Amino acid sequence: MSPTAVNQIAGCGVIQAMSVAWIELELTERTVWVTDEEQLAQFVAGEYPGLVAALSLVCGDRTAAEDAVQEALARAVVAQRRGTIDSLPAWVRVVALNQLRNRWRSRSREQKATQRLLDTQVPSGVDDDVEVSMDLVAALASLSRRQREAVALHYRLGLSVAETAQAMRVSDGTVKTLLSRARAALGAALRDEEDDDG
Amino acid sequence: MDEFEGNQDSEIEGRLRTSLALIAPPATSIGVLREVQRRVARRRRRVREAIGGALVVLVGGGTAAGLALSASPQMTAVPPAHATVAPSTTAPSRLPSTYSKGAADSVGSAQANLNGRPPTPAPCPTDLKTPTMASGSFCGPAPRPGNGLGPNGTCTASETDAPCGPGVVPGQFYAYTMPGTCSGLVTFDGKQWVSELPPPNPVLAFDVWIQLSADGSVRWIAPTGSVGLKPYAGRPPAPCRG
Repeated sequence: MSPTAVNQIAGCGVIQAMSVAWIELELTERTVWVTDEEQLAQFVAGEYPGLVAALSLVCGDRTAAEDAVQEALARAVVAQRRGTIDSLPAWVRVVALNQLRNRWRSRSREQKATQRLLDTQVPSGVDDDVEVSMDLVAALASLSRRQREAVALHYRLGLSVAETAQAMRVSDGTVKTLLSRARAALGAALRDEEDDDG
Repeated sequence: MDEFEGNQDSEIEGRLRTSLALIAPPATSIGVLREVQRRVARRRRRVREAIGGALVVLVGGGTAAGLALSASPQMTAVPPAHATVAPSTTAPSRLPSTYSKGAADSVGSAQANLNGRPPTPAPCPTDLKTPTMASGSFCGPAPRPGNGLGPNGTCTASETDAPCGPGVVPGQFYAYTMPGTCSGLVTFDGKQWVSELPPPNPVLAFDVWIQLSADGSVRWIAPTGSVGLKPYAGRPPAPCRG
């Protein structure tokens, strides 16, 4: 058999595989979106607002947090069709966190993110008995990225230690340590605030 | 004492939860579904374009090769070769159309092919001495094996002469044997590089023309396409699928 004939046969196999991929794409586009949409709508209505809020504490940028979660959701829709997602909220949390981390590949970007957090405007009209101090924002910015992630997921999003560990892809013990150290730093800021009131 | 500390901790946790909720109020979910749908559609469009482009390159290449075969049964003298872009047993099974200058052309040709018109590759000048992808497909002399000391001329990282060893002249094309490992790691100009599009599964080594550009970037071209290489940063290579 001539080399060209071999090439053509090998080419046929690739063409067939690609044609199948094309047809699958067309079919899934028409049929699967309906079932996905229900689950997606539930997530957006229930979990999305809290997750964006928590991630904005991590990166100090609400727009970046929204972008990360929306991108994770778009990927989730595609991944769901392949049946690779067991729990949509858990999957989206992991992917969105990774998205944010990818933005931080350079140190300068991380420093900018910390600065953005410091620039965070605390909303006015806060209840008298819960005064939010800028000290807390500054204390948050002084935490390491991982400590901030743990604090945001555990205290802002309300995840358990195990769920936080799963989202951060670390052990429960690591999360406990991160939370304990973060609590010490943030607790000081909260106590200062209390002393100022007193 | 422990109890006191425990109470203090839970009090701090309570204040922390409330304060964090005030610093970072919940986001609005209005318009999110539409934005996600838009992103999904965009991702799907990119995949479709990639598949369509690769299909056209394959179909077009196969057609061109078939026509050439039927027109001249004795295909011995190949150079200067036109793009015979069907994957061969000595070429990576993933077509690197993304990295070729003609990627945009391929996408455009995809549309033409879907309309039932096979793409017609631009004719190659007959007097080409150096390989080129200027027309969007490969033209010029057929690639030859490299001068590496490994099997089929692959580099072993122990060579002292260019192109395996140092001393590669920017802008000059070198005959080079590309190892078909899916790690994508190659030795060139005395340094290690990694392919931007390694084959998903190991394939046999194949011959290419490789060039170091004046800006320090490296790419190889061959009838199968064009792929860039980037300096190896010591990261572990991607695992093979096969």
